Amino acid sequence: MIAFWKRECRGYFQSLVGYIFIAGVLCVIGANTYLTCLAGRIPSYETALASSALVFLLMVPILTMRLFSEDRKDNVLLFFYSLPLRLGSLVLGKYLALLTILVIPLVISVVYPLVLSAFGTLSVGIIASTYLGFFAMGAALLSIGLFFAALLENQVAASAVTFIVLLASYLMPTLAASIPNSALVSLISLAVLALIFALIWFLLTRSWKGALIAAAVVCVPACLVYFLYPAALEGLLSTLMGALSVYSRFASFEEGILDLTALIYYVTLTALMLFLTVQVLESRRFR
Amino acid sequence: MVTVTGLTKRFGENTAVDHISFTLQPGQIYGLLGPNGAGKSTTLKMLTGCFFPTEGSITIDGHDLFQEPEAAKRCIGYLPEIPPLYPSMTPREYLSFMAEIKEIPKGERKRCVDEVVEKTRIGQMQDRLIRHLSKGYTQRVGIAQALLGMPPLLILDEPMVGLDPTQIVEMRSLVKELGKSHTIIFSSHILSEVSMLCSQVLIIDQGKLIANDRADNLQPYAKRQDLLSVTIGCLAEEAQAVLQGIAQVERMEISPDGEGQCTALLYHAKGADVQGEVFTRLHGAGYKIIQMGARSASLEDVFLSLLDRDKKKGKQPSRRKGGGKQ
Repeated sequence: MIAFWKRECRGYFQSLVGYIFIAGVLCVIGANTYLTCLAGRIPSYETALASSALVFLLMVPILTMRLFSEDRKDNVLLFFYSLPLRLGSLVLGKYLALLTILVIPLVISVVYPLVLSAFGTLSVGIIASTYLGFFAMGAALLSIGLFFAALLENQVAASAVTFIVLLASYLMPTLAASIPNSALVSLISLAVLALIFALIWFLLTRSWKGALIAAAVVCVPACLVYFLYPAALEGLLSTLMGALSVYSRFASFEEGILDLTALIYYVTLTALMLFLTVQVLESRRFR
Repeated sequence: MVTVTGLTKRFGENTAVDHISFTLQPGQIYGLLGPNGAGKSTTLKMLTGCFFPTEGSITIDGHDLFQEPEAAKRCIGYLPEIPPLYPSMTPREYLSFMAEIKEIPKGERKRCVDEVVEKTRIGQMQDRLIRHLSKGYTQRVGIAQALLGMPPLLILDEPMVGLDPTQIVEMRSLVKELGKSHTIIFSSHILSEVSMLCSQVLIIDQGKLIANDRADNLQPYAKRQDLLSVTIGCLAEEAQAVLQGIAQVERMEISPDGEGQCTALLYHAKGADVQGEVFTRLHGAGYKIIQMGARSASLEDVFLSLLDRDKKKGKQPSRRKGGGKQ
């Protein structure tokens, strides 16, 4: 695991990507700090930090897309299966490298509140909690990027899909508010989910039959429930959308409330994505 | 050392490897021979755990590859067809990285890397970036990686491919030397490499194991034949006309061999004396005999004969056209 962590870190700093990420995040935090605290004269650093969360939309795909491309290109990924190597340790090593790159601009940006504190009072607790939330959310988003980098063989496809998924996640709360909550809508959204599930299954196993069965497994019970007991489906859509919106849970950190459920959400999401990434890699051996 | 039973791999509709079984004894060099697309690489990939077979079992040094994968894989050093190298690293860095991944204890890593660098003689190039190395050296770095930790079993997939003649000679002597202390199985479609290095040969065609024996014992697999080779100073068509229909000649191949010359290979029943008849006919037609000599079937003849016999059995070819091979 440490070997992979070291290798990926070195890779990020030998290529431009690591520096681009660090520069990008610092730039956005810096710009927001200026706009909010200095030009906007709002004495709240945590607002500046929170509004910088949007930078992940662009920076996460850029950082994660190269994670498996080099290994695939150099024929190393298939070779790793011949070693007494646990795939989990490979994935964790790469993920740790991602976290390392994430931490660096955050640590550097601490300069801003330090400087600002000379000119006024800053709430250390709130700022610390905002940083924690920022880091946890970044970690969760990076794990999503890692998953798609493993799933999709094409680097560009991986970055595009990651971007779309993150964007969708960001827009979830807005969408959820404007879409009606009826049982029919919930059924349709379950069907869409089934389609996505089937697509991922197909990408993993290259089998149409498997994909169809996967879709049916979600669709058939959903249809049954719809026809027999539609009330159960009402409100399901907003619950689903709530589950998928990564950004909205960040809000509580900004208020200084150490919301344990939000933290658990991020940790669980990360763990789930890492687990799925390992499964994706394992599945290649069967093909 | 290695026991393989009923190994099968299907990619969708294509059967790449079809119920192959064999055993490898410790301390021998084995050659896996077959035409391109026969299933050699796929077999080796399954042997190393890169692919899961559709059916069959593999045991390495007493460990079942599926029940105890880590224990089994620790016994293996694998060099794939395309060496798994990182171009942006130097051989030294790469081997240290591999040593770490192979869980060689920290204290021993440097010693292990020095050991393999010395054995594969890449000392001069160990600090140059891998992307700047020649094919010969990258193959050697690949073998060095396979040797890390001195595993008892070495699996080399087409180690000679793409090398120039000098590099092939070096690679051959390296494999021969390694054969003294490791069990080696390597795949090739270059017959001369196999016949020079291997004590035992496994021949695969269209996913099936069609021969598995010591190189010398393979002669009986060929048709029970001897071979008479005649170089004649005439055109191939003329030789064909004259030598047609000699008794006890089972097969004849005539090919042009330079200006106004041709070479005829006559496969005849063992012990039959066709030399006299050939001489009489050629002399009668007034053609000059430049060279005539008997030779026993080489591995190439055996190989071609086996493939020929296998095709004639009328099996449906399951050869893939490009897709399906990972």
